[in-house]
Amino acid sequence: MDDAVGHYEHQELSMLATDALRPENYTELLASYLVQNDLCNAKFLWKRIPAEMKTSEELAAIWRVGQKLWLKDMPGFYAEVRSFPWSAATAPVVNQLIEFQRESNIRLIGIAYSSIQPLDVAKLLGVSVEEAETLVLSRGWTKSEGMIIPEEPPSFKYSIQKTRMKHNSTKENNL
Amino acid sequence: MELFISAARLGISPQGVPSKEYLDNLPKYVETLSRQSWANLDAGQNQITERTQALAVLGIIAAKSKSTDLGNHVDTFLTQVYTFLTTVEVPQLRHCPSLLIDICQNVTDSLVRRGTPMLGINILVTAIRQYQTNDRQLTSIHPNLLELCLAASVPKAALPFLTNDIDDFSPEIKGTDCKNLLLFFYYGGMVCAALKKFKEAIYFFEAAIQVPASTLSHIMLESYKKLILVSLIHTGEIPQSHKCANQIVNRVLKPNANAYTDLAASFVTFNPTDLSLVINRHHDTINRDKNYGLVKQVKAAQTKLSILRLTKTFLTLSLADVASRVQLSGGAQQAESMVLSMIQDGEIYAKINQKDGMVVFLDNKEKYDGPIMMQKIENQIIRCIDLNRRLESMNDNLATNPDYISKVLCASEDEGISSSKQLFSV
Repeated sequence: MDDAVGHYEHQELSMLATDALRPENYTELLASYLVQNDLCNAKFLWKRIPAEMKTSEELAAIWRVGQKLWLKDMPGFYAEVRSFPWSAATAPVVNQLIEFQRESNIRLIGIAYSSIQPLDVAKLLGVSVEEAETLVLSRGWTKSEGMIIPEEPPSFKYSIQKTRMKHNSTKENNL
Repeated sequence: MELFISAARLGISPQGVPSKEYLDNLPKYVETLSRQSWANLDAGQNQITERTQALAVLGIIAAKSKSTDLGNHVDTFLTQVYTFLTTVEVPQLRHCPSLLIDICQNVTDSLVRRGTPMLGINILVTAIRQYQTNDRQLTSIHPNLLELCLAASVPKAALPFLTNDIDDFSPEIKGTDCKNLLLFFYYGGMVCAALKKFKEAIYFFEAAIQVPASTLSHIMLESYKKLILVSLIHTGEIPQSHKCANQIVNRVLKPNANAYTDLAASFVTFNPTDLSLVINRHHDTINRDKNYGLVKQVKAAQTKLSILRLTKTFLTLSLADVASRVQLSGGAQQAESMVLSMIQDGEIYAKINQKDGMVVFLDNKEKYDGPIMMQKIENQIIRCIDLNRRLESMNDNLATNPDYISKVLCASEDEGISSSKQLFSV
């Protein structure tokens, strides 16, 4: 991913006409910025893309996705990524982006909520309420009085072990 | 043209070293050449094939960059410059810095005027890398590059030139007025602000108003205006001016940046309606200064800071209370999404409880014992050690500098103290 970004960034600054980026290159670069959560550079890229390139439908669609991320509008984001038939070249990057957003939102809910409605979880993860419930319950979160009770994610790699140890000891205590 | 070429043959030794006389006359030759036709200049450039005569080629390129005909040949010219810069032997470039500086300035001006600033970025990057003797050296070409990057909306390309601490200046930037220095700090601040690196932006704008100058530059005033805005966004406070800039800030800059001092004064009252009023009142000034984007961010920062202040007073608060205290029009729902967004950005630590609509404010969970923090500290330590090493070598250089020694000697002789002993004990 970093390679693709660096490669296109370099090519963009080249003065040779043969190096000129095509719309699909811009689409890939823009999508890569979004996957890296580098919204600032995504915005500037959109600003400098020549007007005649912006008629590319896929390029315009990926920027609409970027705009939703800029506004932190998650339901809008999932709606935009679903509404466009991505080309074979772009689809993997878009899927990566959805996966990244979903994972970081699960993390965010774990950090920010002590209880949350299933509907709001579904909105943040871009899935149906039932799917959302199965997804988070499989991660050890619980449900009580119609609310989801999230589990805080471990912050560092080595503290995963710590929490595991704690879990084991509480289990033993319960036994 | 023939004269120019033969002068070069005479003036530059076969080893590529120019005579002093040739160097003195070169700018005059270039001036005359720049009035020649483009075809003539091209022919001349093609005639010089020896690598040792690169200085003469540089002269012709400089003449081309000054030519009124440049507009019709920009694309081929840019390729010629780029090829020249990538193939030239570096010492040749440093014989007559003013030529290279002029070329870069003219390229920048003409590309910005034509609306194709992106074309020049690679050329200037190459020019700087070839010309500077180490990557911490500031040259007169730096501000040109930053200007192109800003005009082309490619701020990222300028970053490598802003992250290194500068501790050396190229010879030509020392001699000239401080305009290039001011521009470097001003554009540097703008690049950082565009990428939302506000801490760095504050550093650059502060540096711009602290440049020692006997007369006030307009660049300093614009830097001061932007300094106020980025400080409000980043720290929520009016910038404290450094003691060496105090006088100039109070006497000249503040009275000339009324709109912005009003804005700052209103910001710290944490009354969003009042801030909106002030922004509306100075709408024209802000627009004219092209600061509207930053002002919008100032407005958003005030709301965030209001929430941040709540975390200092309360342990728990209902979302509806957050909304009314911060004066959010969207009620509890807007409050929830604001708090969520701030948690996401790591600006506050809190837990939202949707069941009873409350938010609990927590302390920073960071225990400073993780590997990420460890790496951060390690990087800082390495930077400090490096800085210390460079300071020591600067100190050594200064202590053995003949000018410095003679100055110190004179000063202590005036005081009637036997000097040599004192000097060498230091």
